[in-house]
This record gives sequence, structure tokens and C-alpha cells, in this order.
Amino acid sequence: MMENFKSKLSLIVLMFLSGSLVLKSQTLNLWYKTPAEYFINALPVGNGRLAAMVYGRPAEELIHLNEESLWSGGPVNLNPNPDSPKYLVPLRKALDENNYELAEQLSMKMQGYFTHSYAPLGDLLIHQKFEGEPSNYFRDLNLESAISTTRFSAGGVDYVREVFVSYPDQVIVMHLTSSVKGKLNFSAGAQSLLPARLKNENNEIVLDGRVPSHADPTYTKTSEMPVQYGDSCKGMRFQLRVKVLHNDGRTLAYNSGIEVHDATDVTLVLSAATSFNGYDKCPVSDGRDEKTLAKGYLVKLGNKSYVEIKKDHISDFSGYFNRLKFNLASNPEAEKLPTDERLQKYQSTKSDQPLEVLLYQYGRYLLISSSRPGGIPANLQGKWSVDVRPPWSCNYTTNINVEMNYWAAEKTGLGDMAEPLMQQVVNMSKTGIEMAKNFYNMPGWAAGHNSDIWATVNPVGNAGSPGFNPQWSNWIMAGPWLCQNVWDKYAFDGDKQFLKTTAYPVMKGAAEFCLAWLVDDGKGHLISSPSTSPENRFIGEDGKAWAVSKGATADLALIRNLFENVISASTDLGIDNDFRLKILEAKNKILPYQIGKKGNLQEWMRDYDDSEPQHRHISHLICLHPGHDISANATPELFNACKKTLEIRGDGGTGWSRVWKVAMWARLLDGNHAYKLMQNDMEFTNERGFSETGGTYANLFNACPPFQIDGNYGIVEGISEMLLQSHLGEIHLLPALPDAWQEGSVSGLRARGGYTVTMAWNKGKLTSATITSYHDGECKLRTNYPVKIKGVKAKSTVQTSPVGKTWLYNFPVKPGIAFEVVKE
Amino acid sequence: MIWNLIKYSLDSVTWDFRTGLLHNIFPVSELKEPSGKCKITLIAFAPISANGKIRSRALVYGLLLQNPNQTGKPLELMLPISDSGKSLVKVNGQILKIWQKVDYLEGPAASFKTEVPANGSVEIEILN
Repeated sequence: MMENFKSKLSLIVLMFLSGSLVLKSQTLNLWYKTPAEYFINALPVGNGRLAAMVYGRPAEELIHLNEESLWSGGPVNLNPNPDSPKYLVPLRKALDENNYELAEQLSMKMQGYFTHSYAPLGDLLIHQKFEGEPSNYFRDLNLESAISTTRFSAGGVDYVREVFVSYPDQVIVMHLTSSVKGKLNFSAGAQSLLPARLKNENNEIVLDGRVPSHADPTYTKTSEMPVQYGDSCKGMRFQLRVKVLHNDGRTLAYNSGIEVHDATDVTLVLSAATSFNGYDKCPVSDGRDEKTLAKGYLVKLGNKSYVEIKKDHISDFSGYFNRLKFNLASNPEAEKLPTDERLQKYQSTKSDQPLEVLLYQYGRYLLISSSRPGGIPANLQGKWSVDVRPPWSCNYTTNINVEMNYWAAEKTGLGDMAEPLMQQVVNMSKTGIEMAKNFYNMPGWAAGHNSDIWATVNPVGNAGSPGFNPQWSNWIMAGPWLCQNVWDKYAFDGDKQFLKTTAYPVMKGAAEFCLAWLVDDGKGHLISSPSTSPENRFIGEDGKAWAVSKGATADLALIRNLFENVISASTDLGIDNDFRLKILEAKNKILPYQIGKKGNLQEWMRDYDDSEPQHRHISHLICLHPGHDISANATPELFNACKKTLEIRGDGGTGWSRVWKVAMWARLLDGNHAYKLMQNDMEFTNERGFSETGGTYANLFNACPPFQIDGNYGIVEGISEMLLQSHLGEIHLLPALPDAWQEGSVSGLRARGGYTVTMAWNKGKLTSATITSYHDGECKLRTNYPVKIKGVKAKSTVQTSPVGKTWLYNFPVKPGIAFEVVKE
Repeated sequence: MIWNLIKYSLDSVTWDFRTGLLHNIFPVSELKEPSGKCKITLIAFAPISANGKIRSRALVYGLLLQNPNQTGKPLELMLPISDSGKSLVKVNGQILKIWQKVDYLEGPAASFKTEVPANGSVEIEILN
């Protein structure tokens, strides 16, 4: 409570100091004048574990339901392809001889099985009776309260429904009211795409079902029957329960559903649970009792009043959400439009800064709603999915997407929400030990480009026969990349216990694999072999497009970054001196970054042409973002090469590709170009099928397309990087502010090293900032204009880089002390 | 279904089963009786013209029941009959029955009996 008060107070002070009258607090809600027709118009609510998509239909309400642990399959076969290691030596030899065809054939023999799929729980169906046609229709989703409301009038009665998912009570709640006594009449039922049986148990609707033991990804078919139920240890059970908690009318319960008659105020609650019992336990024979769990949530809820349930929910949710406030110039006219019309208008005006703020805060909203401590990480669609075979299995794609999901967590005050990813990495490090040994006969742990709730890590395919294209399957650098997220948690909060017990062991294990994986290129440099640059291909000496080569830049950037972080971690912990020296020696031998004939940063070891110059992945620029090897001051030539690379790649691509480029242009300190990409990401789309042209749907979900949530989380990262950067061991305030954002303010942004920053700007320049440190030490502060830090003697230097002058200040900090920065 | 004197409701049995799209068009399910005493393949679809403009008010079920036993077994099927219009049932390619309008709320579900030979199968097609 006090933190919220302080945060609000400092923002008010900053707004006053900035001299702006237009930065009034903006309404953070998505609202519409019509019910949702499709999934991409519906509104998402969730508490991390449970998720729901609300359509807001007056007569035939539809709410899709998900439970985060409901996945097909069971514990992974850790050695599905025992022949794999024998192909590594001939594969490396083929690459030494530039025989890419053979290299790809051999790569396909080093694959395991595809991951399992996230499964939909079912739907809640409400058939509501009323007189006449509905009018005065309105529905919205308020991001601060995390409540979706539907309102309409019919027959002289006003009807209101509120839906939210409570974390404190672990239930989905629907509250229905009518303005005239006794006019609420409806039936409630449940259905599922999975085999399930509906029954009535003590006036509760109970749906018991099970998931497939196997569901092929949509992009391949391992058999004519891609969805299978059965097998000994696969196919977990689930239970969904629907209960009328309060009803001032009459309730009738049947096996097919519940009827409510002549009521005025009704509360429905839904609970759900699965038999999932951990990534390595059989969900059938060794599963949890889903029935007891699902029933238990309702028993625990008792007869709690709706007011109390709602109050606890808002208190919980807003406690996280309000940690960060962001305001840009207001636009009262635009805010009068429903969100879908507003987004369409934005296509021509490109002028609606509160909508840009809304998109930013929506990303934070979605993360709080889909990832909570102790749970399972947000997947490719967060937690909102309706298909038995969802796009890309709705799994964890580790060659960019799941990392992107969590990039902005720490810096926007939501570090707690990244805990599920940390646990997933720990699980993957365990299955990854087996993978490294069984597939490559190497120490440490490794992981491929897909994972799931079972911590699958092998290169995906059909265990070698017939092979799946290595362009996607054979990238195995998920360990180093996920370890960036793990390290970042420590970099932000400095939690040495976490570093010692969680981060360092997984980082060290990943580094052990990379040490063994690197080979000498014959010229004294270390490279990876075989190697792919995620999902991209080059034109080989034979004029054909190939994916497998040696020493792809992305691999080397990730390994270099991992080694640097392992060195820092072992130094901070004061352990593993010998290992640190070994890592340091190897890091210094890694093939340096190279500039190609077009002035670009080379994607492959040789200066090949790209088969797709505007490919959506830009993995070789991992060294720019999220890595920290490239900067305007330290590596100006490589900085310019990264810029050239992005120019060649262009400003289009899938949704997540566009938002990654926002972050990259921000790291290139070009706020206007970052802003252009952000606007490209806000391109309105209705496209539900597969396409390379991304954008934003009417419900502000990000379109790959189809819907992928990484773009929603990723835009938070991109915009945050425009406002503040801290990856170079210094805090850079407003490093990439676009001209369009002449005035604004933000409070609650966090910086690596343990800082919280609140700042405001006007006429495109910083007017004031408050930096609060949580430790003793020295703060390095960079600004684009000279500033004064009140109450301290700061050493200042002026630096000139390819993008102009910046001012660097060094000053001592103390824990809990706020330092005020003002323009000079 | 009554198979070998035991009654099963195929919409709610908990047997292992697999689903897919035959020829990438027709929804198909295969159910295996746990002790291996029969295997059932079901196809159900609503016909539609190639250009999507003609959508018949009809539902087609195809059911293949395989009997792996060494002896013939009696089979009785209670069929999903529509509440309006005709239903046509073919068994192993021969028209077995044509039902006129059936009021399933009042009368018993339409059903028929047959014998499935040892190591043989029966193909049943139903057009509603």
C-alpha cells in the first residue's frame, strides 16, 4: 500500500516538474460496442493457472477455459534415438568438406520426437433469457482491476456480467445481475473438445475428462491418426466444476447443466484441476487427484461473498500491475472510440499515444494473468488456447519466443512472474543432461528449439526416420539463451541465494556443454559445429539454400554471452576459480564478430548470401539485443554493421519479429526507427491463418499470425528499451525517445544493478528523474543531455559515438536513498 | 451397441482411441476394446459440394467393426437416427433398411442385428 502511494506521489511530482498539463492519468481499458465473434475479438482474463476468454454475448455467452498444466502426453523418453552420437563425427567431416547435403541428411538422423501440445479445458456456456432485443451494449476489460464486464439492456432491464479469475481463491468467477428484481433467467453448461463426461454432483456441474496421449503438431503428421488417446502412462485427467455460489432466485441442477430462475444477483464459480504431478511423473498412475483438488478450491471458498472475492482479487492483481505507471500525451477524442475502431483509426492517423500506452500495459497485464510463482511458464499463446492441435503445439519455442515472453518481466516490476521460467529451465537442465549424453555423448546439458511441460529438449522430429528439416529442428543453443533470462534475474535483483542455488548450477551446466561442443576452426578460433542460425538458410557454394553450417554468429554470440555471465557469477560467488579460467580462455578464442561485404554483421562464419534477406529471425543480432556485446561507444564499427543488417532485414515480418526489431533499434539508439517498428506492429489485422505479415488483432492480441503472445510481451521490452537501458553496466535514461513522444512520464522502471527509476520528460528532453538504489556502490548514469544529480558530487565525462554525444556520470549510492536528477 | 451380449455406449466408452482426418478431409476415429475383442472405425461427416455452395441436410456415418475372434459374434446396433426425413442403412454394401420419420423421443431408437463372422468385419453406412 505504502509503495503504491509513494509511486503515485512521485509520479504526480514529476508531472508537475515536467510542466505538462496533458499527462493526465489514462484509462487502461479495452472496450467494445459489439460482442466477440471470434477468439481474436474475445477478452482474456487469468490468474496464471486458470485462463478464460470472454466473448460477451448477451443470449449465448461463450467463455473458453484453460488450465495451465493440461498438456497431452507424459514424461519424455530421454533416449529416443540411441544411434544419434555416431553421426556427429561424419557430420562435422561433411561440413569441413562443404558437403551441406550430406550434413543435413546426417543432422536429420540426430533427432528425437516432437513435443507434446497444450490442451484446451473446455467452454462455459450461458444461455440467458430476456425480453426483446438487447440494446445499450458494452463490454470491456479493465487492466487495473483485471475484470471483464458485459452490459446490455433488454425489456427495460439492465443486465451486467463481470468475469475475473481470482488468484487468492483460485477460481474463475462470473457475477450476473439484473436491474429489476427477479429478471435474471439463464442456464449454464460446460463442454469440452476432449473426451469428457458431464454430470451433476450436489448441484454442481462436473466435467471429467482426459487429454490425448499424443497430438501431432499442426505442421506435420507422424501418422494418419494424429490425435491418440491411450498408452500406459500418458494422457492426464482433468476435472472442471461449475457451482452457483450465491443466487437470490431458484436453482435447478441437471446432469446437463444448471438453471437459474427469477434471480437478481447470481455468482457462478468455476474450479479446475489436472492430474499433472511434475515433469517427470506419470500423470495417470502417479498423478495428483484432480477431483479432490478441483473440489477443494470450492470447499475452501466456502460461502465467501462476491464483494470479498472481488476485493481480494483486485488487491492481489493491482498490487503487481500498479508497480509501474506510464503516461504519454493524452488524446481524449481517440479515447472516446471503442478499442477496435480506435486501432483501425490509428492505421491512418498514427496518432494515439494513449493507445500505445494501453498496448504496453496490456503486455504487463497479460504476463500477470498468465504466469505466477509456483506455476508453469506462459506458452506460445500465454495460457489462452482453444485447439486440440494448437498452432505450433502452443509449446515453448526456445529459439526466441519463450525468452521474449519474459524479457521485460524484471524491468517492469514483474520479476516474480518469471519464476515459472526459472523452474522450467531447471527442469530442462535435468532432461538436458540426458540429451547431451545420449545425442552427443557430451557433458553438461543442452536443449533444442522446442520444449513443453515435460521438459522435452531433444531436436524434434521422428527420432531420425523420416527426418525433419534441420532448418528448424537441429538448433541446440536453448541452454545458453535461456541462461540469459536466468542471469538477468540476478542482474536486476542481486539475489545471491538465487544465484548460488538456481542460476549458477544451470549456467555452469550449459557452459560445460558449450565447452565440449566448441571445435577449433583450424585457425585458432573456437566455433560451433554443426550450427544453424534459427530457421534461416544461406546460399552455399553450390548455389543451393542450406541451413546447416559451422560457426553461425548466433551460436557464438550466445556462447560468448553465457561464458561472460558464468565468469561474473562465479566471481560474485567466489567459487570455481579453475573452471572460470577455463571459460575465460575459451571465451577469448571464440571467433570474433565479422562484418560482411554489404557492411552487415555476418550471420554465418562465411560471408554467404541469405536465401531470404528479410527473414523474420535476426538471431545473429543477439549480440545487440538481448545481449550486450555491441554498443555505440565500445564497438562503433560493429554497431554500424548491426544497423546495416537491420536495414537489409526491413521493417516487416511476423508480430514477434517486429517487436524484437523495436528493441534492436532502441539498442541502436534510434528512437524514431524503433517507433516506426512499433507502429508497424500495431498494424490492424483479422488474419487468423498462417502468414508472414504480423500485426495486432481487435482484442490487441499480437498476430504472428496466427495469434502468438510473444509479441504482446515483447512490445513491453521494446518500449522499455526506448525509455531506459541498463545492459552495459550503466543506466541510460531515455536512450531512444522518439520525436513523437515529446512529453511523458514513467515510474517504477527497474534497472540492472538494483535500481528503480521514475522520470519525466518534456519537449523530448529529460526534465527530472529519481533513481533509488537498493545497494551500496557506484551508479553509472548516462544521459543524452547534461544533467545535475542533487546532493552528490558526480564525476562526469562527455562521450561521442556514431549517434552523437552522451554524458556519463559516476556517483556513489546507498540503499534506499533516492537521487534526484534534474536538467542542467 | 450390443457386442457379444455386452452393451456399450460408443459415445462414452473409455477405450483407447485415435482420431484423425482421412484423406485430410473426413473425421475418423478408431476405438479399440481394451481386451482386443473388437476394433471399431467411425467416420462421420456432413456432405458439402466442392465449391462449398451446396450443403446437404444430411449426415453420413460409416462404421467398420472388425471381429478378431475365432468365432462369429452377434452384433446389435442402436443407430443415431435423425428426427426428420429418411434414414438409409447399408450393411456390407447392401441396403438393409430405410426408415421413414422416426420419433426417437417416443419410440425406441432404430436398431438392427447382424452376425459378424470370425476374423471378419462388417461395414455399416448410415445416411441420415
